Amino acid sequence: VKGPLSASRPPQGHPVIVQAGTSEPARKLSSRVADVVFTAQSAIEDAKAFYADVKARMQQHGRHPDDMKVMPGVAMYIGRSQQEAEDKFEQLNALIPAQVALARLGKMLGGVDLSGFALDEPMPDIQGNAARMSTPQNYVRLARRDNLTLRQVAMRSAVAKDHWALIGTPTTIADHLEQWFVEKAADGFNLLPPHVPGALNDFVDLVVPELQRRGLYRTEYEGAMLRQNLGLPFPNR
Amino acid sequence: MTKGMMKFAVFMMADSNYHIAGWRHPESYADAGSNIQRWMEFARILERGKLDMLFVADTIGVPGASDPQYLTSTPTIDKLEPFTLLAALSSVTRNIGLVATSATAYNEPYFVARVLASLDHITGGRAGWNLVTGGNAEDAANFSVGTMPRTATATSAPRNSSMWSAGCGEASTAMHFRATNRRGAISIPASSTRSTTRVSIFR
Repeated sequence: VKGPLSASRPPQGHPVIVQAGTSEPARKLSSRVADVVFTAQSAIEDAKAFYADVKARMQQHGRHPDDMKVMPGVAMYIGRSQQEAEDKFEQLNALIPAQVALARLGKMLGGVDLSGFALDEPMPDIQGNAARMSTPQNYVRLARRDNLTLRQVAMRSAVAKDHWALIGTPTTIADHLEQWFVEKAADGFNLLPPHVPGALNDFVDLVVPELQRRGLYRTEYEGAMLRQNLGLPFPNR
Repeated sequence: MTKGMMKFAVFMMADSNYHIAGWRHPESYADAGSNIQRWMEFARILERGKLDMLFVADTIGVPGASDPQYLTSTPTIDKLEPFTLLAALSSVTRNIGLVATSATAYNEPYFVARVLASLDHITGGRAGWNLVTGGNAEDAANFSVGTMPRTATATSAPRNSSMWSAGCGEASTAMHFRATNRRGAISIPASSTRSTTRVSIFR
C-alpha cells in the first residue's frame, strides 16, 4: 500500500480490534494487537488458564493487561424459576432434528463428514484442520469431560456450539458470571442469544438489573465512544 | 469507574440467533436476516441494557452451500453485509459499539482500513473490527485468489493500524482540513505520504 488513506484520523484513533480464537497463532496475534478477545471455554479452569496466558503475553509486548478485554462466549436460557429456564431450553431443543445437529457439528469442525460415525458411540477423536484449529479439540475435550456420545455432542453443538451454556434464574446466572469475573476467567462476556428478540429481552430485563444491583455492571454509559465504555486507551499514533 | 465493571458484547448472526432452532421459536422473526427494522429493534434492546457492543458475525459466502439439507434447516443464506448494516444502525443508536466482521483474505488492507475509518466517523467513535482471516471453502469459492492460508493474512491487522495512523497524521487532521479550506488549500501532513505499507500476500 503506497498511498495515504483517504480519510482523516478516526475518532477512536483506531477502531476497536476484536479477535476470536484460542489457537497458538490466535493467542500470538491477539496479545499483540487485539483490544477484545472472544474465547470459547466452557470450564472455569480452562478460561482462567487462557486468561492468564494471553495477559502474560501482552506484557511481553509492552502492553498493560487491562488494555485487552477477554470475553468468553456464553449462551443463556433465562427463567424466572429454574423450571421455566429448563422449559425454554427444551422447547428449542425439541425443534432440532438429529441429522441437522450432526451436519451442523460437521461444519463447526471445519467441514468434517460425520455420517460414517455411530451416533450413540463416544465422540471420535477429531483433529484440527486448516479451517478450524482449536474448535475440534474443544469439542473432544468437552465430550471426554462429560462422557458424551456423538449424538449428544451434536445436540450440545446445536444448542451452544462449543461454548458455555447457562440455564437458570437471574440470580444463579449472575452467580456464575460474577465468579468468572472475580476469579479472572473473564473481563466480560460475549452473549450468544439462542433466539431473538426473546433472549435479548430476557437478558436486559432480568440479568442486567441483578448485575447492577451487585455493582458489577454500569447503569449509564461512561462515554460516547466504544473505547471509553470498554475502558481502553486511545492509541497515540 | 469502568475498571471494576463487566463488559458485554452480543453476538448477532445473519439468522440472528445462536441456537440452531432459534429461528423456529414462536416469537422469533422469520425475516430477521435481511430486515433492517428487526435489527433496529434488536439494537435498541441492547442499548436499553447499556450493553457495550453489538457484534455482527459474518461469513462472506453461504456456509453449507453444497448441502441442501443444511441450507433448508437454517436461514444463514439470508443476511445483510455488516458495514452497511452497522452504518444504518448507528443512526438509531447513541452509545452502543458496532462491531463488523471483515475477512483479511478477500479484502485488501487499504479497503478494510478505509471502511473501518469511515464507520468510526459515521458512528462517532463506536466502530470495531472483528478480524477474521476467512478460511472457509464456501468463502474461497467466490474469489479469484482461492483458498488462503489462515495465518498469512492475519498480518494485515498491524498494517491497517499504521494506515489509520500514518494516513492523515495527527488527531487534529480533521480540524486542520477545515482551517485550510478557508485559504482554498488543503495542506497534507508530511507523515501521511511517508509510510509504505507492505502486506505479504498483497502488493
